Order: sequence, then C-alpha cells, then structure tokens
Amino acid sequence: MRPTLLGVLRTAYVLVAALFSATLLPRLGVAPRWVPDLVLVGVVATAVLRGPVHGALAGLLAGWVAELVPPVGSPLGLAPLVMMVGGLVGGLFRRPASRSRLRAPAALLAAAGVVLVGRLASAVLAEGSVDLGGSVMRLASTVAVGVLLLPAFVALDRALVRRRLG
Amino acid sequence: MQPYARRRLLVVLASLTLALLVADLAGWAAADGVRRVGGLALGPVQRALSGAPRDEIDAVERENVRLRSLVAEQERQLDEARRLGELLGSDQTTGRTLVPARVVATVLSPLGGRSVTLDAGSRDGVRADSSVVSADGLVGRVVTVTPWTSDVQVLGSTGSVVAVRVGPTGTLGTVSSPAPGDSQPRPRGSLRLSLIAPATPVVGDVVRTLGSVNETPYAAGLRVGTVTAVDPDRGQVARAATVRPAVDVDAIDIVAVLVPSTRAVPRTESTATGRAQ
Repeated sequence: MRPTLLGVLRTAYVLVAALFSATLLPRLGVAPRWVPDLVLVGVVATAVLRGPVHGALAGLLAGWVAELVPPVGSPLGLAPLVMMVGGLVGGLFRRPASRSRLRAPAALLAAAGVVLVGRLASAVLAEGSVDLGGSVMRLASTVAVGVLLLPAFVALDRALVRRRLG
Repeated sequence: MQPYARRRLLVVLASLTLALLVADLAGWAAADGVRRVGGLALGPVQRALSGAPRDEIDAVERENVRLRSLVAEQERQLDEARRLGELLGSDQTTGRTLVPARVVATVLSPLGGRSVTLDAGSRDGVRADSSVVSADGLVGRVVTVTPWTSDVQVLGSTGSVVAVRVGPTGTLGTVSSPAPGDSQPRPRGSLRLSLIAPATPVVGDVVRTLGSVNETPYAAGLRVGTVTAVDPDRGQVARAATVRPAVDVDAIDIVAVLVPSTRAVPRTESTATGRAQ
C-alpha cells in the first residue's frame, strides 16, 4: 500500500491535534474542561465519509496516538477502545447520496457522546465520582470546534479524492 | 484495501489493544514499556512546543522551590527541638533518665480512650510498664514494646487506673476513666477521681501520681491533672471528683519514656535530733 497525501495529512493532523490539546492549549491558559477533543473531530471527519469500519479503524489508531502523547493515559488502551467505538458510531452516519451539512456535526455529537459515556463510565469505575459538568462542557466545546472544522475537512477530503490523491 | 481485509485489521488491532489494556490493569511490565515509548518519542516534541525555556527565570523558580522546601524542613526541625527542649526543661522530667520519643500513630479504642504508638522501642531502652510523660504531665504507660516502637495506654483508657495523691495534704485516691455506670455526668476527656480515705477534695487541687515500687508502672510525683468539680454529697464514705487531665491527649507529639531507676544502694539510717528545722 502506497501512502497517499490524504493519509499523510490525516496522520499529521492527528499527531498535531493530540500534541496541541495536551501541551499547547493548557499552556495558553485554556481550562482543561474547555479543551476540545480535536483528535475526535479528525476521526469523525474520516468516518462520516467512509463508514463504520473505516471510522473504527481510524478511531483506534488515532486513539493510540492521543493515548501515547504524555501524560500517557491509564489504564493503557482504554481511550483507543473508546475512540474506536466513537469512530464506529460516527461512521454510521454515512449517507453517500445525501450532501446535508448537518450530518457531520450530528455524527460528531454522537461520537463525542460515546466518548463522554466511556470516560464517565471508566471514571465511575476507577474513582467512584465524576465531574459531569466538566465533561459536558468538553463535549460542547468539541462540537463547537467541530462545526467550524468539519466542513473544511470534508471538503478537503473530497477534493483530494477527486484528484486521486486520497 | 479490501473491506474484508480492513475489518480483519480492525479486529486484530482492537484485540491487541484489549490485551494491552488487560495487561496494564494486571500490572505487567510490557504496558510500562509502551508508556515509556510514548514519553520517549513525543516528550521532546512537547518540550519544544511548550517552549520550556532553560533560562534564568526557570533556574530561579527551581531554586525558589528548593529553598521553600528547605525552609519548611528547617521550621519543622526547629519546632521539634523547641518541644524537646520544653520537655527536658519541664519539672516533670527533672532528674530522671528518659528516652525521648515521638507519637507516630494513634488509635481510638471502641471501648473509649485511646492508645498511641511511639517511635522508640526496646532497642532504645524502653521497657514495658514505664511511665510516659510530656512537658505537662503524665501521658500513660507503655504496655507493649517491639524493637523499634512501643504502644502506650493513654490516661483515661478503659482499664487504666492510676494511684494518686490529691492536693497539698496528699490524700490517697485513684484516677480512672469515667465508668459507664458513673452517678455523675463528666465532660468528655475528663477523668474520675475516687478517694480511698474519707476526705473531700477541693476544686483546684493538683493530682499527682503516688508512684509504684521501682517506678513501675508509674513514677511518683507526676502531674495527672486538676480537680475541676467535686461530686455532690450523697452519703458515701469517700467523695468522688472530676479531674481534667494535665495533658491534652489529642495533641501529644513529643513525649518522654521514663527509664525506671532501680535502687542499688541501701538507704542510710539517720538519727532524729528532736529539733524542728
């Protein structure tokens, strides 16, 4: 398999997004509860165009990248699995015939909901208490950023595929 | 890639992830290896991204943190030295051989009272049934000794009874924890004094230990507390009273274990002169 420009761009985006949300945003003074899940936005942008299996695969790999960016998550591997389910759910929103602008944000909302539920469940199991308000704020900021970014991602993806670069 | 191959890849990768998750939860070393790889590969990038400057401010801040921790440590040591000095200068320990110790654990007994653990044991010269005092007065007696620690039964525990002398006349009595069937309500943390001889204690009387043979378990003359209330006369032969302990058992920290001194030299006889001094 030859690496395509689209694949390289996607990998670079996930890496930069993971570093950005782990290192740069907290450094710039963004409260942890407002840091959007940028990696999930990228996963959903892929999933909504290519379907659940591809979305799950992208989610798993991107989740691993996000997991391995220090601070490395604990337990190791939980976040990739949750992100995989998120990508799978996002992929269920694929409709090749429709070009509605609302579908990608809806897929992101569903995927972010899955990730939220996964995090809350693991937090309940591990600590016995959850920061529900903070998690919901994180979901809101993720969806807000996604509404801005997703159309651009989808358009770029389509353009690259049309030029046989993806 | 074919859809079928993609599905298979997904299943394989997800299984690997799950296996790693289980391995991490089970505490296997392989998971730590993966973790280290993440830090090794991406840590430098993060450092560059966060713009961590190795400049003067950074060094000064680091020095600041180091000095702060140093000051805190010094303050703690000074405080300890002050308390030890207080203990050694106290009239409770004058002329006695003692082992200084610090309370490292405390347990509230379900039956009432408490026992504390000291960081000194038989290797330090602590013997069972030695008196334990603080600068204010009697704390209790050692009941169990291990090589490096010892457990102390604190005054007021269930089953702790101390023979005492009360007031300037030195009336004999015993101090114990307030029994459940006590006729008189007593404030929390106070002790019950019952006199042996028919006498009446007075509020403000100082209660001191009577002392035992070979100073075991209690040395003589240690301050136990002060009489704060005398029970009303109900026709009993000897009156009882409430004693406030001299030591705040909730806040004991540095204490001294008195080393019992056994007499080796016989007392010299003396002749009465018949003249009052």
